Amino acid sequence: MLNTSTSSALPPGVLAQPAFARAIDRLSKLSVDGYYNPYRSFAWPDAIDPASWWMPPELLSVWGTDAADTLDEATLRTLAKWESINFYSLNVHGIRELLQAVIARLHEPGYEVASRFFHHFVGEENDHMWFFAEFCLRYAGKLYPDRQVRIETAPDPLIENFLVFARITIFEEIVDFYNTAMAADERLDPAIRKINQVHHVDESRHIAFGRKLMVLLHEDLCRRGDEALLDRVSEYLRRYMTASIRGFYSPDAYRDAGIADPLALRRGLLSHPARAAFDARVLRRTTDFMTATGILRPVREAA
Amino acid sequence: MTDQTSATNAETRVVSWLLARNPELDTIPDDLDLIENRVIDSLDFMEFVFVLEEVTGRANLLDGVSVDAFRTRAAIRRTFLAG
Amino acid sequence: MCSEHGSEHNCGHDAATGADTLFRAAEDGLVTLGPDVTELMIALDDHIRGWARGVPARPMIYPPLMRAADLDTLDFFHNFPHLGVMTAGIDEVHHATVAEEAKAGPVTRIAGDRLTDATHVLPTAACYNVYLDLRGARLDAPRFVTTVARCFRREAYYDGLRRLTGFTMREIVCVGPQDAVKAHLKTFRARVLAFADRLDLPLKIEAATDPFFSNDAARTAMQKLFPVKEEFVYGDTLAIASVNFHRNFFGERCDIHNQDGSHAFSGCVAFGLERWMHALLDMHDGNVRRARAALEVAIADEAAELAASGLLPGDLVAPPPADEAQRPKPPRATGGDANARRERGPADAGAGA
Repeated sequence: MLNTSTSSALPPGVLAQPAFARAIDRLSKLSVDGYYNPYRSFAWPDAIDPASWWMPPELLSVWGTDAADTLDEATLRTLAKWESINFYSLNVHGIRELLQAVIARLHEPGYEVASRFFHHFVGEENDHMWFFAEFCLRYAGKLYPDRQVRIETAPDPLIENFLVFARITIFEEIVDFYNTAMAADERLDPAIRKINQVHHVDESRHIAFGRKLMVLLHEDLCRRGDEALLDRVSEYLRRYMTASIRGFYSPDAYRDAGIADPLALRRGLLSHPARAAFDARVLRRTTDFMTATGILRPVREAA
Repeated sequence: MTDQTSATNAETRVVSWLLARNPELDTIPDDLDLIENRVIDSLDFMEFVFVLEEVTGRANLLDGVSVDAFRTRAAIRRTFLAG
Repeated sequence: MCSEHGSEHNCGHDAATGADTLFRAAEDGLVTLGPDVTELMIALDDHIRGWARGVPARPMIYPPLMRAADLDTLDFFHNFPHLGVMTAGIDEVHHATVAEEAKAGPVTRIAGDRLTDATHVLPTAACYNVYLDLRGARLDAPRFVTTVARCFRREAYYDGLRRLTGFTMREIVCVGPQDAVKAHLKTFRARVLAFADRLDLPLKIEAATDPFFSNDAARTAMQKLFPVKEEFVYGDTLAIASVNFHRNFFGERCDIHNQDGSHAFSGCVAFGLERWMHALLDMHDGNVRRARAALEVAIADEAAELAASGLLPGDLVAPPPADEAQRPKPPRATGGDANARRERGPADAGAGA
C-alpha cells in the first residue's frame, strides 16, 4: 500500500540506544525459550461447572456495594461466569485493536530494533486472542460484541506513536491485574487458571517491552518542549484509563445474569465509592509508573 | 405521558449529559457536528451509547447504524428518539 | 525539570522556581534528600525488599544504637577504632554551665570532658545486630533476615551522595550451614548483576579484602585464597553493593549453632542506597524522572523473567551470569598511585556492603 509508510515512522535515533537493543534481545530470548503451541497446550474440559466460580467474587464489578448484597449467591456465580466472558471478550477486542497498531508499525523506519520483538508480540497476541475466544465459544457459546467505537481522526503521528504504546501497556497492565488474581485462585477451574497464567507470563514480557517504548517515546515528546502538549497527553491517558475500566461494567453481562435493569445498575456502580477505590487499585501499578516517570502530570486547575 | 413528551425528556437527558461533559458549551445546537467539534470522542462513545440506550430503553443501538447517526443532535433525534 | 544536584541547594519546595531540588549535601557529610530522590530510593528499596520476601527473609528492625560491649565481642574496636561514632550525653555536673553558655551565645560544640562516658555506638553496618540478636541460638534451618539501618562512619572526607556521615544500608543476611550461605551469596551476586544490566548500570565486580580479620595472619592469608568480599563498583571507584562471606566468624563470636552443633556460617548482601542514588542520577545526567523510568522499566523486565521461570521451572533457573563480561579488570597499572582513591563499600567495616 502506498502513502502509509511515513505516517507511523519514527525519527531515527529515538529507539537507537544500545540498552534498548539488549533489552529486546533479552525479551526475545524469553519468548523463544517459552514458545508453545497454543493449540496443543490446553486441556479443554468438556464443560466448566456452572455452579463454580468462573471469576473470584472479589473481582466482580458489583463487589463491595449494596448491589452485591442484594444478589443471591447463585446469581453472583452466574454473574461471575458472564463477567469472565466479558473479560475475555474485552481481551479479544483489545488485542485485535492493538495488533492492528503494531502491525502498522512493523518494519517501519525508526522501529528497526523494536520490530525484532514485534514479531514475537504479534504471534503471541494472536495466540491469546485465539485461546480467549476459544474459551468463550466453547463454554458460553459467544463473545460479547465490541462496545468501543473508534472515531477516525487525523492524529499527530508523533503523539500517536507514543499513545499507541501507552494504550497497549495500560490495557495489558489492567488485564494483568485480573490474570494474576485468577491464575492463583484455587476456587477456579484449572482450565480457567491456566489461560490466565499463560497470559500473565506472556504479558509480563509485553509489559516490560511496552514500558521501555513508552519511556523512550515520551522522552522524544518531551524534547519538543511543548508543556501544553504533555498536559494534553496526560489528560488523554487518564481518560483512556477510565474508559478502559468502564468496560468491566458490562450491561450485557448483567443482563445475562438475569439482573433486571442493567444500565441502571451500571450507572449506580460507576458512582459508588467502593468501586472507585477498587478501580484505583486495578490501575495503581500503571498510574504509579506513569506518575513516577512524569508521563501522568498533575491535573492543572483552570485559572 | 405522550410519546412526544417522553422523546423530549429523553433528549433533555442526552443534552444534559453532553453539556456536563463539555462545560465550555452553553447549548447543543441542532446541527452542531458533535464529532468534528470533539463534543464526544472515541473515549466517550461507549458511555454515550449507554446513555442513549438507557433513555430510549432499547439495547444494542450500535447495531446496523453508522457513526453518522450520532453526529448531530438532529440526527440523534431522528434516528433514536423519534417515536 | 530541575536537575541540580550536589552542593547547597534548597531541597524542599523552592518558592522561587516551583521546582524541587534533588538533594542537599553539606561538607560535613550530612545530606538531605528531596522528594523525588526520596521516592526513587524508596522504590529501589521496595524492590530489594521484594527480593528478600522471595527468599523468604524475615524483615527485622533493630535498635538504632549498639552497645560498645556488644561490638567489642566482634573485635570492632580492635579493627575499626577510627570508624565508630560514639554517643554520649552531657554530664550532669555540667548541665548548668552548658545552659548558661547557650544563653550567652551560639553553641557549636561541647567539649569532650563535659560528656558522659560513651557506652553506645551508632551502627556502622546493618547486619551486626542480626548476629548479636541470634546470640546463643541453635538454628534448625538457615535463617534469612533482611533489615535496613542508618549507618554512621567517621571518614576523612565527605562527598555528595558518595561518602556520607550517615547513610542507609539494606542487607539480606543468611546465617546457617556453609552451603546455604554460599548459595545465598551466589544467587544475589547474579541477581544484582542482572538487575544492574537491566538498569544499564555499568558495574564491575571487584574482590576486596576485609580488614575484619586483619588481626589474624592465618585468616588473612586464607582470605586471599578464597575471597570473602566482592564489591559491585560503579564508575571505577564507588562500591554500591557487596556480597560478604564471613565464614563462621560471627557464629563463633555470637555462639550461633547449626542443627548439627557446628558453628553457623554467615554471609550478607548489602546495598548502600544513597550510592545507588548517586549512580542512577549520574547515569541519567541528574534527571531523576529518567532515573526512575529506568528503574521501573528494569523492574518490569525482571518480572518478565520471573514469570517465565514460574511457568517453566527448570527452563530458566537463573539468568546467565552477566559477570562473564564484567570480571574484575586486571589491577590498574597505576604503580605509584598507591592511594588511588577507592571508595570502600560499607563493608570495609567488616560486615556490611
